[in-house]
Order: sequence, then structure tokens, then C-alpha cells
Amino acid sequence: MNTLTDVNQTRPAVIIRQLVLKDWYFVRFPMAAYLAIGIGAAILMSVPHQTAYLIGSILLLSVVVIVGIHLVFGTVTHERSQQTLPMIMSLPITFTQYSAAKLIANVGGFAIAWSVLLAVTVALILTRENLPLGLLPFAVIALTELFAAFVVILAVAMISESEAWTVVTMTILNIGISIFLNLIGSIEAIGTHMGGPTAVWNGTALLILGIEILIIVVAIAVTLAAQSRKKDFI
Amino acid sequence: MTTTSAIRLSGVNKHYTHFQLNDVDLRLEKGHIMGFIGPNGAGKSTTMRIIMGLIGADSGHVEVLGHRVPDEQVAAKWNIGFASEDMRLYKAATVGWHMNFMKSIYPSWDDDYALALLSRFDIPADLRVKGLSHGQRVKAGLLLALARRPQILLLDEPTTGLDPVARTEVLNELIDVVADEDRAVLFSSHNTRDVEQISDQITFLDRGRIIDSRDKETFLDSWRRIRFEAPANFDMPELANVTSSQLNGRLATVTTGSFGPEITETLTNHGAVIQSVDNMTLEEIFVSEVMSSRDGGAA
Amino acid sequence: MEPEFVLSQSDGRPMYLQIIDQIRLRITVGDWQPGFKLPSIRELAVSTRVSVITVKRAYQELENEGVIVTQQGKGSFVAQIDDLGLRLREDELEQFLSQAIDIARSLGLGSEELKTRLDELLRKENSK
Repeated sequence: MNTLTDVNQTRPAVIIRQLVLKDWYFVRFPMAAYLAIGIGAAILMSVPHQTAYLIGSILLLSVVVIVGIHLVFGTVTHERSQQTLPMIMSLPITFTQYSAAKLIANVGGFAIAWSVLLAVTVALILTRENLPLGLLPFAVIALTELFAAFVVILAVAMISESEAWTVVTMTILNIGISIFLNLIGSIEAIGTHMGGPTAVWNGTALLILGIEILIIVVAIAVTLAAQSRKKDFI
Repeated sequence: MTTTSAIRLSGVNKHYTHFQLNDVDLRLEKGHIMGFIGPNGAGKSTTMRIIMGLIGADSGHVEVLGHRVPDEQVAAKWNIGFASEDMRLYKAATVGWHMNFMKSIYPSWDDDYALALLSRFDIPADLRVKGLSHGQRVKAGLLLALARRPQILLLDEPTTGLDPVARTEVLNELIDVVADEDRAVLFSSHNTRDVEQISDQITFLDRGRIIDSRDKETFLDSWRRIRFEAPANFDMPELANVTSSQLNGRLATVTTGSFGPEITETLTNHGAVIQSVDNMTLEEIFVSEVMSSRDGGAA
Repeated sequence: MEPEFVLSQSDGRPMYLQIIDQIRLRITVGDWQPGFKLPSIRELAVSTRVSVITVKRAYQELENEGVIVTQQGKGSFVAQIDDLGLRLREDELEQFLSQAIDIARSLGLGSEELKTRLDELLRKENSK
């Protein structure tokens, strides 16, 4: 008969890849739409008009935030609430492997959208005359903060397994964005150079960026550690 | 040839706030079908999830084909096809997508068999799961478990919500599975007729405890309902393992789970005139067992 | 070869007895001659849609009665007994008669009374 023997098995890496592709498959249309909106927002930012620039930048920030929300809800929270988790966890994988797949799908998916937006932003700052070069460190810090906030929300969603906690974290962090950006802008070492003709990567800017990256790394590590300790998966 | 059991549980406990699985011992050998019967909330799903490694037992030992669960759950899960009532497919995807997904993971996926099941179960492959009926979704879940031809099938309520034709189709597939002596099926149901027909082993579960687990023939053989006419001033004799006895005027009924000639003999010696000794259906046996286990505490 | 056994869940008798009856029937009508190789237990279980253990029990009972013979590793065969079909019919008759005796006893009828009743019945049948 055609029953399975131990040699005839798919490698874990291949299964993880299938799980990532599966997650992306289910969010492919909205993600493409967000990307289009994001690029439109970036173009809007380059129009030499204060209002257009303002609308464009708000749109750009919003779309990055929404990509994160959609990924977390569409691939993590829904897997549980739509009861598709039993099917996925009955595949020959450990919960740690499942979690790794989720992290890759989410962080990877977000990183793709985020990189495109980062690249567009940087390109615009470098090429458009109405955007001062001094804005670059602030823009990079702001976008990296969004990345860090996303990874923290993802970690909470995965570890807490609770939609409520995810929403609470999401709300706090998103309200925090404008406060954070104001705060960064008001720091003398950052704020004073924003309108300047050169990008100033001073110690303060690098420290803030370093902390943001550290948050991302720690959140991912904590998630994997917490998931590998769980005994009940559904 | 190995003598590893298909599934083996010993002393398994799982504690929840409002429910507790107590000291579950279970053994299913290869080549057999085991029917798992219990009222809602008896712990059938919890037990099956523990076997599948989806939830971890607080204590006890779980083994699937010699692989310890949860420690070696990946090795175990390679060999188990699992479907349960609360397992949903992706609403936004078609059944065909699900089939390709499973195929990309399981090298044992059998395309011809999958297509045969698709038509036998009457499931449209190109329709999104969203648009399928409840019965079609249940059958699609079973198809995904069956078409990879796993050595063990672990099915939680596979026939619930299916029409009679679909139910028969599903039961037929399960019997076909054990045409191969190396394979085994554990399925739960509250439809005792399904279980009675195709099971080799039967396990009764109630309130988180196994109240009985035996091969079906022994089960059916040991239970009898004895109806007799009692003489005036009849004094019901002490009978071993009688789960219920009723005296209604001159007519009396005794139900026993360990029938033997000595019971009718004792009754006759007390002046009873035996009217009939009847076989019982699995459903009647189940109800008797549950009632007597609840009355008497530990079974 | 797919034996078309007709089994019924609403038949009051246990499934294994129904299988035994069907096999006996095959032998009495001569479909299955002495030496005929029966389907394997698993084959019969799959084709009749009942559990393996039920078929196994039926085969065991038939073996105990000497109707079939099982050879390790080879399978089960209809016993090489002359006039097996006829003898099975006689067995069946005997079973009915003993049932009649049981009922007569429970009614408190003695042997003589039972014989008288049987004679009466025979006379009625013959005069038809």
C-alpha cells in the first residue's frame, strides 16, 4: 500500500516555505492595492506644494500602518478565529516551526512593502529639490519606528493569542506614532537639522535607530522563545 | 513485523477549569477500527487532540506508532490523517487549492484517489469553500485526510451533519482503510449505529473518564435484557453486574453487562419464568453503561 | 469475487449470526462446494461493510461447528464433508425443534403433550 515511511518526508524548510506562500496567497490582493496606494502617496509627496506633501506623507504613513494591521489580522488572528489552525497544526510541524513560518510571512511581507516605501521616500528626498536632504535621518527613524511597532504588535498577537490584546497594543502604538514623531522632532540633535541641506547622522540619530532595531530583534526572539514553550496549540 | 500499537495512551490527564480528563488508558492495534462513543463534553475531542499533539496532556504517556507525543509529534503526525468538526478550511480558497497545498507537503498524496473521492463525495473542486454546504465542507476535510493515505486516521465526528448517502460513503471509505492490516482508524461519533457497524473496538467515554473499552463482539455478547414473570412476593435475588432491574406488577426486567447462564438460573431458582433474553443495541448498552457509571461513581 | 451478502441492521440478530447464516446458505444451495476457498476475513469485512472482528467471529463459530476449516497462512475452506449442504439443513431443523422444546417447557408442556401437538400439526399439513 501507499502508506508513508520515514524516508519519504518533505523537509521542514520546504513545509515552512509552503506555509509562508499560503499566508501571502490569502493577502495578495489587498497587499498589491496597498503598494499602489503607497507609491501614489510618495508621488504626491514630491509635488512642490505644501498641502500635497502633507496629504502624501500622512497617506504614506497610514498605508504602512494598515499593511501591518492587515498582515497580523489576516494571517495570525484569523488563523485562530476562523478555526483553520487545527488543520495547519495537524501538519507534520512543531509549533516553533509554525511560528517561524508566521514570522517570516509577516516580517517578510511587511519588510517588502516597507522597503519599497523606504526606497521611494529616500529617492524623493535625494532627488526633489523641495525636500531638504536634512530630512533623511528623521524619515528613516520614523519609518523604522513603524517597523518596530509592527513587530511588537505581531509578537503580542502571536504570544497572547488574543484579538483583544492585539487591538489594544495596536491602538496604543498607533496613537504613539504621532507623539513619538513630535518627540523625535523636538529633540535638538534631530530637529535642528531637519530643514538643513545635508543629512546629519549624529550620535543621537544613530542611537535612536539602534534602539529601534534592537526592539525588532528582541521582539522576534521573545516570540520564538515563548511559542516554543507552549503545550496547547489550539 | 513489529508489534507496535497504532495508538497507546496510559494514565493521561488534562485539567481545565470546568472539565477534566481523568486517567485515560487506551490502546488501538493496527488493522482495527475503534469507535469512540460519548455524550457531548465527555472528552472525546480533548483526547483526540492530545493524541494529535494539538494540546499537551498534564501527565501520562501518549504514543502513536511508537512515537511519543508531544515530544516526537512531527514523526507521529506524518502518519496521522486528522479531521475534526471544529477544523475549518480556508473560506477564500477552493477545495482544489487545498488539495494542491496538501500535495505540496505530503509525498504520499494520491492524486487518483483524491479525484475519485471528489466525485464520490460530490464536492466541486473549483468552488471556494465559502460557497460549499456544511456537508460538503465536512467531506472536503475528510478527503484531505484520506487522500494522503496516512497509516492512522483520527477523525472527530466524521459523520455528523452528513446526509445518509454521504454517511455511508464515509463509513465505506473507513472500512476500506483497514483492508490494509497496517492501518488503523480511531473515530468518534454520537451516532452509535455507525460505530456498531464498522468498529472492531469500542470505547465509551463519559465525564472525562473511560467507562469501558472492549472489542465489539465481547461488548454485544455480554449485554442482555432479561424479561421474566415474577411469582407473587418475588424477592429480587442479588445478581452480579446487574445495571438495572425493574419490577412492574408481575413483569420484571433485568439488564446485565455480564450475561451468563447463571443469571437466568438464579432467577429461575427464585421462581421466575423467563419470557425472553434479548440482545441489546450498542445505543442501549451505551445508555445503560453511562447511567450505571454515573449512579455508582467510578466504573 | 464479491460475495453479495445481505446484512441488515434492523434484523434483531447480531451481525455475526447473519453472516453465518449467509455462508451456510451458500453452502446449502451448493454455490460453495466442499473445498471452496472462502474470502479472507478482511476481504469479506470490506465487501460486506462490517467490522473485521465481526467476520472473524462468524468464521470462528463456523470453524467450531466444523463447517469450515482454516489453514494457517492459506485461508479458510468449506469443510470436505459429504453432503455438507444437506447436513446443514438438518442442523437447522434440529435448531428449530429445540427452540420449540424450550418454548414448550416454558409453557409447562410435557414431552407427550408436545408430541401430540406436533402430530396434530403434521396431520393438518398433510391434509392440505
